[in-house]
Amino acid sequence: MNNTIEHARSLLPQRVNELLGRANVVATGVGYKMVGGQRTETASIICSVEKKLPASSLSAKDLIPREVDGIPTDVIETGPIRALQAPTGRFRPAPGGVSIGHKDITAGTLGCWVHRNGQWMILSNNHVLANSNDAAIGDAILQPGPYDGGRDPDDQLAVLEDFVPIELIGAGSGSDCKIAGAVASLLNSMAAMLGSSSRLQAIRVQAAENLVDAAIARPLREEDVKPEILHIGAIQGTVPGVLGMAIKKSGRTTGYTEDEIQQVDVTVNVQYGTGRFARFKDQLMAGAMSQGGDSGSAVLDEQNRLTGLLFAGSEQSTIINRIENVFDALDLTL
Amino acid sequence: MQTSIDEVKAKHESRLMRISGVVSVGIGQDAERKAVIVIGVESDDIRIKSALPEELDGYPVKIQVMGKIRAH
Repeated sequence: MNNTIEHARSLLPQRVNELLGRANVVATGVGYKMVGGQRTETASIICSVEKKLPASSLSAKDLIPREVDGIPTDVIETGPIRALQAPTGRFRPAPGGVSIGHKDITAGTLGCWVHRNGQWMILSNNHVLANSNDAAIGDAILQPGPYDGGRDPDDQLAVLEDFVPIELIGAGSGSDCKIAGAVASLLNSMAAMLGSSSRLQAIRVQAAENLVDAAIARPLREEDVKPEILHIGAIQGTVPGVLGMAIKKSGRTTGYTEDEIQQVDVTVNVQYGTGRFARFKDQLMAGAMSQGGDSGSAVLDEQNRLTGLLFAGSEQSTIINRIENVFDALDLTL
Repeated sequence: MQTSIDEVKAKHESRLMRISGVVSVGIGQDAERKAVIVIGVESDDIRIKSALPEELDGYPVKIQVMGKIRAH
């Protein structure tokens, strides 16, 4: 019964310090030995190393023995192992995929780093960086966002540089159908009293069609820029989204998720708080790959090419701006 | 030449978006990966569905429950 998993488990604690003391070893555990990529029935002590090196380049004391007290060893390469930091934490330098927000909002996601006029910029949504049109250029952008404990000025990462205004419809949005209608009917009844022949037409407020919910922020310090995305890595170009394309994102709330583009050419009504909505056209739609707080996430294909900017969704859907429209609207490059 | 699905969608879209309960109109795929016009509705309500077409100018229509779509 010497070669059982139980035996290896009882033995390992006595030898763990000695094994972890060898250069390069980052973890030890018990498992079945792998031979030629196939799992065998042999219990083994598995030593995980940052990098597999030829025995000739290691000193004798750093070599992992072929067996430990009769139990065979196995060596696997895992690379360096790091603690996974929650995306709601404070990151300096700050990568894409982490919490961010204008000083007066809750929190959204830092999508990714892009360029305008040769300068690094943070890309996210208008409703994350510019408080749904209510912000002023130069306002403080905090990382993490206020809901995740970000405070002004201690956690200020950037200043609002520019945003594309969103045409909102509904209460308090300035282009309210009901108010416009009421004003017209009031003026019409006055015109009727005055006996005017030219009655005023009710002002027909069309739902203006938006293309993007996008804004950029300029970092205060160049050394805070980390041009990669948490759990994804560096961006490898851009690509137009097409039906059926496999996509992924890294966001503040649901972290790393994958899905596929289920609809293109989408025209959609999106709620912004209570009683306000905005109509968007030429959007991409995926399934349930996001929740509140993931807004602003960069959306990429399997080759890490940027294809969209996530900004809205429901229990069943995720709505994504096309990156071509975002780059055009704000004059951006990678 | 047959009208393309994009043109058909564009032609009917503003009328469809005015129907109460409709939240989106887009181009999607059926199980055989054939292009269809997808109408997104807020809830699984027979009254909304009965107001919607089953096809538009020869292209199939799929009705999909989306729920309320909010800025995330």
